[in-house]
Amino acid sequence: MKKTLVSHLLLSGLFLASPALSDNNPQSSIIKYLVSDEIEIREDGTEDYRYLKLQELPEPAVPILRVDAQYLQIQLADTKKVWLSSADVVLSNEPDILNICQESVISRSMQEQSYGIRGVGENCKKQ
Amino acid sequence: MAKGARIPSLMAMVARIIESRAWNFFEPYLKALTYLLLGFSGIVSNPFGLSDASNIASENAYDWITSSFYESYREQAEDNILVVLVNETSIDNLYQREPRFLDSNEWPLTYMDHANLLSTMIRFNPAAVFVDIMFYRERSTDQSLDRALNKLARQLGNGENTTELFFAQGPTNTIMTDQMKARLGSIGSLVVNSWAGSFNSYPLAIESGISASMALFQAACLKSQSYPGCADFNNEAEFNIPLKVIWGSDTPEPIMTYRQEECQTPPDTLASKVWSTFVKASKGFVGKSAEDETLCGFTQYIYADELIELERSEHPEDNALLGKLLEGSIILYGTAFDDIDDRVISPVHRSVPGIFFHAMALDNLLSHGGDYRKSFDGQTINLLFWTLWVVVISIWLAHRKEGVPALKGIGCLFVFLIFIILVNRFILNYSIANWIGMMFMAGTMLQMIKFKVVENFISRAKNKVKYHP
Repeated sequence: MKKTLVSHLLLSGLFLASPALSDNNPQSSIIKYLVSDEIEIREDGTEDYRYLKLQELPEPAVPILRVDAQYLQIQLADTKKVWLSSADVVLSNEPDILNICQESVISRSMQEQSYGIRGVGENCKKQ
Repeated sequence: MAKGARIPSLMAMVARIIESRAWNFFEPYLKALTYLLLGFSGIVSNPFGLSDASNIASENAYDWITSSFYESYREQAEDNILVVLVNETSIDNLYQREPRFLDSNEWPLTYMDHANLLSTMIRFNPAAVFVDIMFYRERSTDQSLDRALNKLARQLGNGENTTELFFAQGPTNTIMTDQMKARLGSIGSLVVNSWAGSFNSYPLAIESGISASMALFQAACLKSQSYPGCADFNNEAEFNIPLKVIWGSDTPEPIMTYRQEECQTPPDTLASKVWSTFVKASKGFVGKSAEDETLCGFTQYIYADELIELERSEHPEDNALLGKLLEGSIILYGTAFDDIDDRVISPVHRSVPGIFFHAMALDNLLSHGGDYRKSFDGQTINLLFWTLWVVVISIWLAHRKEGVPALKGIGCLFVFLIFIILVNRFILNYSIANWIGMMFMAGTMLQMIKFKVVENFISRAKNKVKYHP
């Protein structure tokens, strides 16, 4: 009886925690490296970037452990965890990019004028 | 001799000339000289900027009317010029993707964002890539310049990659720091992309440097001689005079199928082109211009988010399309933001992102090589055409004392117009003369002949001299 109760509690806990887990582990994997020779990586816990030969990376499909902005964390064969840019890989569940449609007509009226300049973006903060 | 005595003797001399038989010989020349000087003063003095304004209006109207007949290299060879644009929507789409593709959610992008986009292009080994974004100095709020340059350097130095990379430096006297010049110069070449010049004028060789399109033209010709303009691309003397950019109205098939039907379809058969030219010429007379049309650009273009979508698509035909677009092509990478002053007025397409100016100039060069339309001093050509008009009409008047009848006058104007355009287009290949101003002046001259304005003036002058005491 006690055993059943514990297992029910564990299962409920897992169920409730699943959305939070999915943020860090999107159940996705890398199915292709887009670079042909070497790839830029950052070792977990450091801010240093370096290049790694593709041979030193695990063969796709490579499970993604965590996602942080545009970086994906994977585990190397020697159990070391590294981050690489999502720009360099293709994912198994590649998200749609073209959510907002582009316009075909790139021209504007000759009368259109702008009397100001864009500011820098909000994401351009001092590091 | 007293000063007062000299003037009457001069008047007496003029009076003697007027009354002599020689006057009959000189009078037609004097009339012609009057018309000539009146025209010259209109052209040279540029009253209230009217000559300049009608010069630009003439070129614009001519280029718009005849744009269907622009002959591009792509009628014979594969379309190899591609513009890649970053705009608001592409940043939104690439930033909102999970995981993100871009670090920045707004312009300006980080150096690494640019490097990731450029790497995608360079992976396909294009012939050349021109970055039409000026990086004058390292931005203090972005620490990714080293990584970005390193990524591009590795990509360019990778095995069989032969892509040439060009960075915009701004004007020849650029404000780019020496450090930045050295860093960009380590992986690519700096090219001039801004200058002061007349409307639609595109210099090719500027002081010690060369402009963006000239650099791309040379890079393209070095890799493939299949472009008709490449025959004399090495002969620098052929490219000293600035190019007067000709804009075509032909529109390539949209790359993405979802934006197929947003633009007007340009005429494609000879009959429809002739008809379109006639319609535009008629519209021009009632004040219409390209402002009333929504043509897509002449150069094929793709947005940065579409590029990334095609590369990551699960459909092999999308990947193949991207390979076809990028491999061996000449890519111009730039922006299309509404509130950044990087736009150019095209006589055919209204106001378009500035990068299309470089793309169109490149198309002119690849299509016509050293035989491109030269941006020549319009005033000299206008003076020559005016002289010719006055001489021809004066000779005619010398043989037809009754003047020029109205219908024949209109015929003369029409022949003069066709003559200006044919000589400009097929013999000189220079900037189109101020044909609107010229028609106005020639029409005014015919009216002056009709109402004998100069004759009346001379006759009054004669009387004044004759009856001078």
